[in-house]
Amino acid sequence: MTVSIANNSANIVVTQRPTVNHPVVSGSEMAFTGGNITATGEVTLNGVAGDDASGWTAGFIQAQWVETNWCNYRGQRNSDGSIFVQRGRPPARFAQACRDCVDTSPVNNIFYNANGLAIARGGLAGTAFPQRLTFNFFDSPSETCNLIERNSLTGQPNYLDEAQFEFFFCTVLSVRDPAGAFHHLASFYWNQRWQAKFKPLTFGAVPTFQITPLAGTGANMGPVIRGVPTDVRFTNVLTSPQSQSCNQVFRAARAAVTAVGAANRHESRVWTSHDVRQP
Amino acid sequence: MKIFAIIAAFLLVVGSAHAQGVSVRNTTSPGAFEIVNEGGEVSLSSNVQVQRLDNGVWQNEYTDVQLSCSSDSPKIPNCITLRSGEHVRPLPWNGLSCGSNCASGCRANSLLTPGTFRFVVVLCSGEESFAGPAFYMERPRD
Repeated sequence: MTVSIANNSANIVVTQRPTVNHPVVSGSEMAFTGGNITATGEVTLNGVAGDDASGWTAGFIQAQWVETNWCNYRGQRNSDGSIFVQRGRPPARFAQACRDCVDTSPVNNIFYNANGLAIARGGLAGTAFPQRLTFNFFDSPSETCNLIERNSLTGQPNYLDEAQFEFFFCTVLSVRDPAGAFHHLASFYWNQRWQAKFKPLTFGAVPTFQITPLAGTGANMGPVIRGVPTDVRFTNVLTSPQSQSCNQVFRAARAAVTAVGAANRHESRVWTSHDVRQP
Repeated sequence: MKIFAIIAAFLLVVGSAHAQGVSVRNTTSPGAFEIVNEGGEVSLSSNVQVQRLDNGVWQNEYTDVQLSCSSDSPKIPNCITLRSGEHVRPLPWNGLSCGSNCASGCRANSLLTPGTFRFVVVLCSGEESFAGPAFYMERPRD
């Protein structure tokens, strides 16, 4: 008998559900944070005495399949202009879906976190069967945007007026066999969403704001789904070679909108409304 | 294991660590710290290295802990100058690898606690580093 995954042995228990906090000023930025999401995963390997399971690895893979990420700025007066920065659409962000890996875990290691207790390996020959592998999942996404952007057309500071961030994830329990093939066994969807209006109460280098969260702000998660994910919105990024992790993708998008004239940075001489669905 | 780590941390360093007038001190709670310059003017890298005590050896952890969270400029300066007698009290480290003490964008994030840690600050020239005392940081309660 060779080592195999015991039928219906995979399980995910979410121990902390995702939440979001109200936006707060942090230095020169508005911070959008939430609570931690934590989960444990487990799966059983079967085999017979003498089998070597050390080439089997279990852990989580995470795909992000929605990123909404835009900020709108207005000057104190209509003639001070406005700026819309779109960090969630091409060309700043080349695609919605990406594979999400912690910064110490290279994206082509596939697993969300290939360190410490986030993965579990089977035992060497001589380890008794069945082998129960347990491993942890942790995440705490966040985002920021500047309180002030300088409008190059008017030369005036434009103040944060409204912002929206939405991060939708699917976290997949997966086992990699000694041949390198991944066996996706269970998954759950979760998300965090922030949208708020910001009314400057004082202007200047460090403005203060009245902050009003809008409907839709919140976090949610779905039930654990057994079996192989089939959602085409992200299945193509689960194990395929990727050039960037989600952290690298969103950081590149942020950098892409800072320069005057950037494709996803729209400056106007007067207050202007933008279609937030567009680049 | 935790008791061993606490004892090891206590035996390694108690109080503050200092050299050449720069001392790194732990303050009110695990993760809170301050840098005090008791010597001549120094220029310190704004990036603070967090190290974990792993089997008796200090290993670098990946975090984005900063000395200053840029309260008045869009960019965090690479170096922070401390005159003689000046101190800086950064926002405490929260145990995370991303958004470690300053507001930051993060998607995947990891919790580095529990463990025994210390902070290390480095001269901007890279010529010298100053390690603080060890401290034990728990995993936050669910």
